[in-house]
Amino acid sequence: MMEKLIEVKNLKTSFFSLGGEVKAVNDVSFHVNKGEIVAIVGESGCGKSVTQMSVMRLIQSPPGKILSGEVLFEGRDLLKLSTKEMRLFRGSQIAMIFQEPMTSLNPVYTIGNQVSEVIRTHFKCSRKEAWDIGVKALRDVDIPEPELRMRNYPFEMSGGMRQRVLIAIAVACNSKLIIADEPTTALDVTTQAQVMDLLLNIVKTKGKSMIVVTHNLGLVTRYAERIYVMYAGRIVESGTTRDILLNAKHPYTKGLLKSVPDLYEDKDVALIPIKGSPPSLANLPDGCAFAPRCDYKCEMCLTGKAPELVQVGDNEHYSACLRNGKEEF
Amino acid sequence: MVKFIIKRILISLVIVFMVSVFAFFLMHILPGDPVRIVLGDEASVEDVNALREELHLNDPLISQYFKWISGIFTGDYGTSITYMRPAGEIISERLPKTVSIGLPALIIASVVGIVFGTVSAVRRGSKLDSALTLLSTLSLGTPTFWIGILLIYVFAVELRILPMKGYMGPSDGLLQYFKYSILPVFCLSLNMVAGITRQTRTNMLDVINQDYIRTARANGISEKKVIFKHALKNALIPVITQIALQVRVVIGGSVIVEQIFNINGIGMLLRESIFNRDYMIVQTSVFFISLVTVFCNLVVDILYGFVNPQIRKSGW
Repeated sequence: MMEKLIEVKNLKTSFFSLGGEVKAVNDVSFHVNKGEIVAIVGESGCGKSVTQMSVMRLIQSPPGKILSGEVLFEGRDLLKLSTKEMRLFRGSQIAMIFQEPMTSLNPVYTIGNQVSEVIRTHFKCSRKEAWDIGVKALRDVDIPEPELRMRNYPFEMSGGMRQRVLIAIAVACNSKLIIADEPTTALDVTTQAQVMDLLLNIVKTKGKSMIVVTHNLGLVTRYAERIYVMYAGRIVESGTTRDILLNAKHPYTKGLLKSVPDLYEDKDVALIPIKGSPPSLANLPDGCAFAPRCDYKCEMCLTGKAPELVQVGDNEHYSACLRNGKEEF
Repeated sequence: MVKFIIKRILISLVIVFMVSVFAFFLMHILPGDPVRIVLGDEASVEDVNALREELHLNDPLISQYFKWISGIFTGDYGTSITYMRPAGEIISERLPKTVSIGLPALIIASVVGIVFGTVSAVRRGSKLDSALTLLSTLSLGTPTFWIGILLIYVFAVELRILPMKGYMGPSDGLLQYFKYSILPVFCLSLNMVAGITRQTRTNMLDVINQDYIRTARANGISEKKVIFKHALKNALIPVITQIALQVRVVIGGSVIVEQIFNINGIGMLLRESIFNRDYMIVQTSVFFISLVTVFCNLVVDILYGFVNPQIRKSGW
């Protein structure tokens, strides 16, 4: 049994607005082992980013609120930490890398100022020492001429370089867990591969763990060891990357896989999209949230509670569908 | 940066020139003859003509303009027709009074406005925020003269703790200065506080929702630093412009405030001189006011360069 670095249990986060309660994260549980790369996959608005923001306790409140659950990081429940303890946890134990490198750095301060500020927040050191650690971190993420780059402003750097700076902060602070929220979505394709390879390299050589949040199945299959598939605020299937790709049980996962183009297959095979669109999280249907779009639904799917995750295979393969294992489809 | 400053100075010179042209010709377009106003309707045609000749009012407008503007550069600001004294002398007598009311008003308004706006944005949706928003909306909508009259009524007439009107400068003793200037300064700054508060609040709210603020928080930066280091500097960039624009409001406002509190400053002089068609005083005052305004804008542009590295580094 591998040691768990972080374990999220029954997390529920909602946003309260005039339109009612939006259940963005609805009873989500997952874990990441030490040294492991885990992907959380789902469409836009399925709650995958909110889940990570809840883990970091960065949900704007109001309107958002973490209603219940536990976030155990090396056994400690982050949701029970004081505001200050949690603040010092961010950046030092868990680093987060966001989708928009272009706007994720403060435009009026130099890279060096921002990098060493974070270092000085988490380590007792002089300005000079923090600066040197920063230079070393920039070098670790393959930024050329790091001494010069430290004096640059964000607008003098490309998107890929800025994303590297954000990764460098995680490296400099020695975070045990990196949460990468769509880290490459805003970058062009060649840069995407470079940034992902860099992240992978850092995770593997420095013994870190990583959660990749993405809607891009193609991206995660190359890097992740396990995958969680999210739909409408819930995890609907989880398992090893191999199990998910070759032996998906949930109709939503199967749908996702069918809608990814395959370079090696016949070019003329049309992609099969999933019909319809995801339900509003403020107004979820009874029963399975995916049922209205599902080709295999039956009467039972449309009533009662949402189906629970059930083990459907070895290697911790779980799926939340009433038909799991009962009938082929 | 040097190139940037030189460019800004050149543009400012062009603006000052254009303002001088406007100030001169607008005054001369106004109907009414200054000589008739001074000498009265009974004056003989000969007297009128003699005075017109003496003041060069019979010369072509263009040559009058060049005479005036070249005088400005040599320190000769012409003669005030109402006072029959050099215009420069009169203006320099009145100016310190206006500055001693206007400058504190501007400084206080900037500081208070930025503090109120920041507090309002950080505590968005709280009772304090609602109260500040209500207050600033109210004071934006209330005319300065009405507030002035109200203040005089409450503090001078009813409570009798402050003088009703008049002026004492800092040279007359700080306590006296304070007593006489507190109401006019308050009156003059009220509108500006409201404007700056709202501008700061809006910018601050906008900045707080930016990705780099989320990054700073996700990196464990303390909330104090997030607000005062990361958010405020970005939010203040437009506020600086707002403050520079207030210089104009101070001058416009001083015309009203000086009237209410009976302060013999530039505002009052300007009002009188327009009615008296005192060309030299009006032209010269407007010219110097525009010079101050343009200078403030220049300073702001240069400050911008320091606050915003993108402007500084691109040379524009």
